[in-house]
Amino acid sequence: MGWSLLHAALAHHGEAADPTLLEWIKDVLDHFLGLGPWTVIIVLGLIIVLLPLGLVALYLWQLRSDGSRGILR
Amino acid sequence: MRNPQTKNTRIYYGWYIVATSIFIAFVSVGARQSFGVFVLPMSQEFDWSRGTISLAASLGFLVNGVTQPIMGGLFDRLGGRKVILSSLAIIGLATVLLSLTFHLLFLVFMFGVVTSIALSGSSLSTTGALLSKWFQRRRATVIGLNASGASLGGLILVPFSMYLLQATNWRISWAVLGMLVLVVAIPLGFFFLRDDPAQMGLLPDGDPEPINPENGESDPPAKSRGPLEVDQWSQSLRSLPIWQLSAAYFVCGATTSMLGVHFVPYAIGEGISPTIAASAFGFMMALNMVGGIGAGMLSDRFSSKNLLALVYFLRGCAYILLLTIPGTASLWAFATVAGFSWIATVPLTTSLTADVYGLRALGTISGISFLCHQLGGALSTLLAGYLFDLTGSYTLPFAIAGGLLFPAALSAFTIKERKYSMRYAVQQAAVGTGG
Repeated sequence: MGWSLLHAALAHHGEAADPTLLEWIKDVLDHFLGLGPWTVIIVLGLIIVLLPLGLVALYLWQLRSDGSRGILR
Repeated sequence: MRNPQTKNTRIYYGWYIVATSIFIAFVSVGARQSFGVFVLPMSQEFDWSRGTISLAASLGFLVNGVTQPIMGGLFDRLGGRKVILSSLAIIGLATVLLSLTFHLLFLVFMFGVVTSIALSGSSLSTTGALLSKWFQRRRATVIGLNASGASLGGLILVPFSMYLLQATNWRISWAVLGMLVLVVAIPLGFFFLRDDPAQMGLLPDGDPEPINPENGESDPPAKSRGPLEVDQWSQSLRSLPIWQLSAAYFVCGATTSMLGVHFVPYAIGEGISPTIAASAFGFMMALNMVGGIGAGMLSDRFSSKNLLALVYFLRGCAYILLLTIPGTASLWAFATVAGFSWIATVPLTTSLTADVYGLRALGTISGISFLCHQLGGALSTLLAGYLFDLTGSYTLPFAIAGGLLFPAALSAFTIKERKYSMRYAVQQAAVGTGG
């Protein structure tokens, strides 16, 4: 009884990543973007990589423009 | 010592910590939320049922909650930089290793145990505790921004995983997600994360050190101590606010997890199409970023406990709308009202905990609250599933969840914030000294 109850809870909880929701997200993106998977991967990948690079660039630019000795120690 | 003349032109270093924390939440939470994308292809390849593969995610939910206070303790002892970077390294490696999955137990161990423990070390509780050291006046705002990073991860990284899976296969997709953590998030964290503004000769919020009028030199401000400020986490358990916050957080976990799992099945049961249910849920997830950031900003200007009570109250009203309005309108009404409250509790609870108990044991204390949150989530999901099987409807579990939100609002509302919060102690001290 205990195990079946726990398993029921776990199974219910595991459904959190609902495939219907995921399918809907993909349909919406396909509808709006109309791009192939590799194009979307490259665009999203660039966003993911450029965010931290932009942050580092901003920090280094600020260091240079301040003429400060910097805080990287 | 900082040059006072540069204070207005330079971006306060704490904002780099905020941006880094947001990115860490974005990548680590996003990679974890992508698990749902992998359920179908992995279960097809290994002939596992959905329930079986979901075991890994469910176990992970519990492990993540239970280990949160332990990771919080390590944070308090070792500092945020070490704990967060080590956790990211483990998350990244374990995610790459998921591409080698060959047996269900391997998946359960790697995802349900290893990454779940590590995720406690880079969770919103831990990064929230770190941000609390860097910000005092804008504490809730930055924690709200940080929480929005996790939502952003769901919005960007999950679709990224879906397209990656479509273009390649699940093994490559897991490896790419893990590499994102190892190659992008860890170097960024290594570059920017610092434990404390004092390490860099700075004050919280980037405030300048006050100048002593007698000798014209900068004068480090005297640190005031709040009435409930603690050195050890166990001391906090002897006071009321931690119990009030944790009890409300338990209800928060119960009401969000239950809906996360059962929203779409509930809607289908009510005769609403899965597409509409999914779009309402997606709309709600988009609104939660606005709610999280907005609640944080408001909390830095108004009473945190009143806002927290309001958030629970609104979510309770959303449940009433869901159960009383007929048809599709109930879903949209619920999504609109509840969406704003979804992650708004995170900045309010974490910042209030920091304001009441101070920073020395904040990692552990926040971890304890978060454990209550996860326990609420696990138990409510159990209850909802059990009651659904018993009655054939979600009405009773949703009514119980909605009903619990009003005592939760009362619990938050009755916190004596003006008496215990450091925010008010500092203001009173400033008035007392004519500051």
